[in-house]
Amino acid sequence: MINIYVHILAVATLLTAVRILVGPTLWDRLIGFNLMSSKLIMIIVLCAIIFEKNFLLDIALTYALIGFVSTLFIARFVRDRGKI
Amino acid sequence: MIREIIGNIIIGIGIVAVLLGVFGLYRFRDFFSRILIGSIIDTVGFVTICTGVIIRNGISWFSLKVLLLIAVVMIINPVVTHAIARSAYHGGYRMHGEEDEDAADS
Repeated sequence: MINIYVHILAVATLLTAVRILVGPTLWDRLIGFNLMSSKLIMIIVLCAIIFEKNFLLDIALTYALIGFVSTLFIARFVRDRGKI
Repeated sequence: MIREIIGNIIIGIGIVAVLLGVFGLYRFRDFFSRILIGSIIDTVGFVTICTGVIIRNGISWFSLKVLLLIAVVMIINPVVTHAIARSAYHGGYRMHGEEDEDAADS
């Protein structure tokens, strides 16, 4: 059952990645990136159930924190028009 | 075994919320509508899926780590959504009816 869920989430992640490619503005691409990383965290948590490994949850936590920092600073960089 | 079935059903509800969010990402034409419907994936879908995982595993270290992940993501994702919407507003993006009002201001 969890295998089917992981496949559905993979298709949803690909559809969100298409939003990064076709987004008309820069911020559409940014929200696509944020949602794609959020869904990748869900896939990692479900894979931790399938393989029964605890360390995959640590990887998910690290991925969440790194995605937070990168998205936040790209948004600030765009808002200030290139001045850091 | 009944705990496993209930957990699978709750994870399925979360998957449905995620699919609704992805559908709304292509359905709406405006950026602010899109960011509003996209927050469903971040909050409802993620918290429901992780709650299903906790119910499926019972009380253990695994569930405690998933609970920590829920706490971190519940703080992080609204901050990121707010930062992107604020960046779009201050960067000059406007909705369709709002154009004249802003020109009168500046």
